[in-house]
Amino acid sequence: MGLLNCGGCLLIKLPGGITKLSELIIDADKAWAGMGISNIKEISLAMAHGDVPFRGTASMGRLPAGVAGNFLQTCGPGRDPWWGLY
Amino acid sequence: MSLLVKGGGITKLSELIIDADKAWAGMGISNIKEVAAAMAHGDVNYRGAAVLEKLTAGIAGQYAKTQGAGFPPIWDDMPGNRFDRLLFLTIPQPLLSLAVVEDHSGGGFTASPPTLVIPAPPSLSISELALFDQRYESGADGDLSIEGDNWEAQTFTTLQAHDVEIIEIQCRRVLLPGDVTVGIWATVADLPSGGDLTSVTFSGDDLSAADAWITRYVVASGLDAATKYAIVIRAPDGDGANYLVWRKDGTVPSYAGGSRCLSANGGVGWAENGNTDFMFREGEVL
Repeated sequence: MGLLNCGGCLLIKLPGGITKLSELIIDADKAWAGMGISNIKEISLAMAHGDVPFRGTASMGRLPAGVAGNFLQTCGPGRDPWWGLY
Repeated sequence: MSLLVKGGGITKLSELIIDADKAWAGMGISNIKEVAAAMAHGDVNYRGAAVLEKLTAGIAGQYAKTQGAGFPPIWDDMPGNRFDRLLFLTIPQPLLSLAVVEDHSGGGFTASPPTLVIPAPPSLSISELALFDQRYESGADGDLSIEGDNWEAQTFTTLQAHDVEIIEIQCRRVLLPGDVTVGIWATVADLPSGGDLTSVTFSGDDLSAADAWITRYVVASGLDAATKYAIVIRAPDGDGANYLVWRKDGTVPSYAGGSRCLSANGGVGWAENGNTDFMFREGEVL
């Protein structure tokens, strides 16, 4: 809260707003209105080069890069995909 | 006199107005529920025509297939993948022989004319087509023995309701294990329970002493969809020197529908070993 003196008047300015993303309170799901988010490092925890994001049980998960030559294989609804052999 | 002035800006994501694309400066976003609308467990992402979209999980066993630039990827089958073709045509080569009968009795020559013997045409055997519902057949790096009261089992979770009629396992014999029984059991709390729903018994003494896939047929038994069952194998006549070996993957196995289960008292009590999966296939005959 800040105090400002403006010619005999006392302005009390309540703290408001943020200046850093780190200060943003994540309190809701958010539809991104079709806008893009680019140049992000990861969208699930600890992703590395070659990992593939997928929807996990409750949140986004990552499938670590498989053995070279493997194929991305679905295990059906409700299960994590994996790298399979043909 | 004082004036109360509320500061501008926001503090919550819900208050944020999305009005522009945003480069995230290489920073991460994690622990988010979804990156495309209405994603569910097993879905993966791809870039659609305008935004990130979801590729809904397909039928278990299918592979991701690109359709080229500008088109969405799809889940698709590969030949010999979900639909196995067990088609063998056996044509034994007939043996032709020429039988000549001679008379050495000293009298006149009375032998019958030479006879050309042509065996009856061999019967052709064509094995049946099989559709496997569940299978785990890669990554074998060891084995476990089955003999006496030491039974082994592999649980699996069906994808679709089907009649189990064919079971295949990768195994070998050590000396003479005697009769081997392969059965399908129901499960309770992820462990085999209730005895054989269907089974087949055969002589383990006739198996190969080298690792090999074997096929056994059982009387059809209906299995429900999305339900866990177990393949239970025992060789009650075996012992520490004569036993059946079932090939397994004991290094971070990837089969998601079940695990190895073991019993040391002839199937009375069971324990699960989530770090091991056996090599198996189960399904129905078409």
